[in-house]
Amino acid sequence: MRRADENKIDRQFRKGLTETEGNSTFREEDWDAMEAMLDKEQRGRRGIGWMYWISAGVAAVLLILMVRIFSPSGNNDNTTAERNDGGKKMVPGLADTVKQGDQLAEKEMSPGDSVKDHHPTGRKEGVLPVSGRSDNGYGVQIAATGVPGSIPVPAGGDSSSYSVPESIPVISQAEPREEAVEPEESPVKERTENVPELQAPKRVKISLALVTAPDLNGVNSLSGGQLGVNGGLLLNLDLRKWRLTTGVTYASKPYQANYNPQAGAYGDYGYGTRQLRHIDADCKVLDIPLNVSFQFFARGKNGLSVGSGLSSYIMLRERYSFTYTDYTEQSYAVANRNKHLAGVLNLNITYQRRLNDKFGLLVQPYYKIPLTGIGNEGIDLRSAGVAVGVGWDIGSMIKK
Amino acid sequence: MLYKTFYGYAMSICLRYAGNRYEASEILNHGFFKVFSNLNKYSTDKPFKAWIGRIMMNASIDYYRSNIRMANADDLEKAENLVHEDLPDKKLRYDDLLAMIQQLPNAYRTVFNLYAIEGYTHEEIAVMLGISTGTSKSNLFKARDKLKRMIIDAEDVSRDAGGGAYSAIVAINPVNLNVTFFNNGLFR
Repeated sequence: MRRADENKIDRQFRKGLTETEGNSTFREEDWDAMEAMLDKEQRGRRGIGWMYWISAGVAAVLLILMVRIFSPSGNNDNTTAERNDGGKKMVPGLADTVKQGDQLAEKEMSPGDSVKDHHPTGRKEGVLPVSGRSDNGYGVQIAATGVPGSIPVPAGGDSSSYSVPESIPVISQAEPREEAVEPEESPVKERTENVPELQAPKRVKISLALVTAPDLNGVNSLSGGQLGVNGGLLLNLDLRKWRLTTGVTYASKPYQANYNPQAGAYGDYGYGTRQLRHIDADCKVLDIPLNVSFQFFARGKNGLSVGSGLSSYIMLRERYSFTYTDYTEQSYAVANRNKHLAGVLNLNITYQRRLNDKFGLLVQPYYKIPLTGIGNEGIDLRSAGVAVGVGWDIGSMIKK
Repeated sequence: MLYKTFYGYAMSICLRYAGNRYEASEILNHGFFKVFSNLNKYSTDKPFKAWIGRIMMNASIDYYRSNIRMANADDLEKAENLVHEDLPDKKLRYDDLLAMIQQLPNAYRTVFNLYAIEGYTHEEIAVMLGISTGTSKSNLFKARDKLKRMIIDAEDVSRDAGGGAYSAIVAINPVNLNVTFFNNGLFR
């Protein structure tokens, strides 16, 4: 810090302006404005808090969905069907018999009962011919019958020895265990090898995509757009040819705009003949999209889809610099003040190429059109770019 | 109430950096917003009033931070020469000084405040405002020049009016919110 010099003007103003506070009397309207500012900030924080909880809720729902789909109980319907198929090949009528046995078990068994109590023949455990795999779907059915603790599960996780009191004697008596195992392993093996073909059309597939996207950002149009960059993680839910996409991307959106009186943008800036000449801005944004796309072309490993949806912008930081016609400038910045829920329309076309059963590439030209004024200045901030990314099929991992 | 207690002190700082009362109020509230948001960061080993003053100054700098046109050497020399002229010794009132400093362009006013009143060096000001030290010096000299002219003009007006004390009657100039001085009742 420099010691004040002895310049006469400096000294005069320093003393005159610092030795007294002048007539800076309190004004209620200033406090009203202060209160409004504090209220707005609190609302903003609440809003961001809501976004946090909504995001957490969505994540929880997706997690539950994933568990539901890939957990043993989630596989129950499919595995039952597949088991039925296998059973029919091996022992005609087995599937029906097993199903009947399940129903009987549900009807007849009560909590605390043991299997042997309902087993007329005192059947040995482990005779159902599915012991070659650890299909946990049966275990869940045991729990549903209310006798989870009464049935010892054989080593290897085969819990299939539980609840077929009526049908099991037929099987166990008709077929020795060794003979039953062999024919059953074949359909199971076949199912494992052909997972995508068998399940893709019927089940929701989940995949993650790590994307980055250079894009152009401009006001009202993209002419003279500034180059920004995006990066983030997207979650895809695929069902047949439809895909639901959500996720979070961090975006840096710089832009410039010249004042255009005809366009009406920034018309309320300036004083008299002093008008806004130019604006520079840089916004850091969290983009939370919710898009739906439809695959209209698929051949071999390649696919094309067209999509649309809405993005929510959480404005993390906004910096604005205004240049006026008298070449004076004014800058300001705000943080965490604005958010635009479902405020941006997304349009995109996606090209996908599958590399293997786990990974794929995507290239996605996109265009973002605001449905509301964006940021503290409420401008028509448009973005267009090409997202490139790598997709990872979670389902293919879990199934293995 | 914290806001009301320090309102006068904080406003006196903001008024020096602002072009008018409305801008000063905006700066003030942004400053108090920072005060409220950072109360937990206040260290009691420093005077609270000084802490608020520093925040108000920073809020003012934030508000007016800009890329100022580079001054050329001619402007610098001319401005430096001008401030060597004699000044009247008349003591000016707070309102008069405030009106004069508010009449300066934003860039000049900010540098003048930081250098002449706050006591920062040109190097420090250059860092704070994101300008060169040459620009800081140029803006300071231009600010002094303009202030000097205002003081001389005000003295002339006062003399013409019979030596009565002059007071500022603020008129908003839409070009850059200039404040024009008139003698008591003498609109000419």
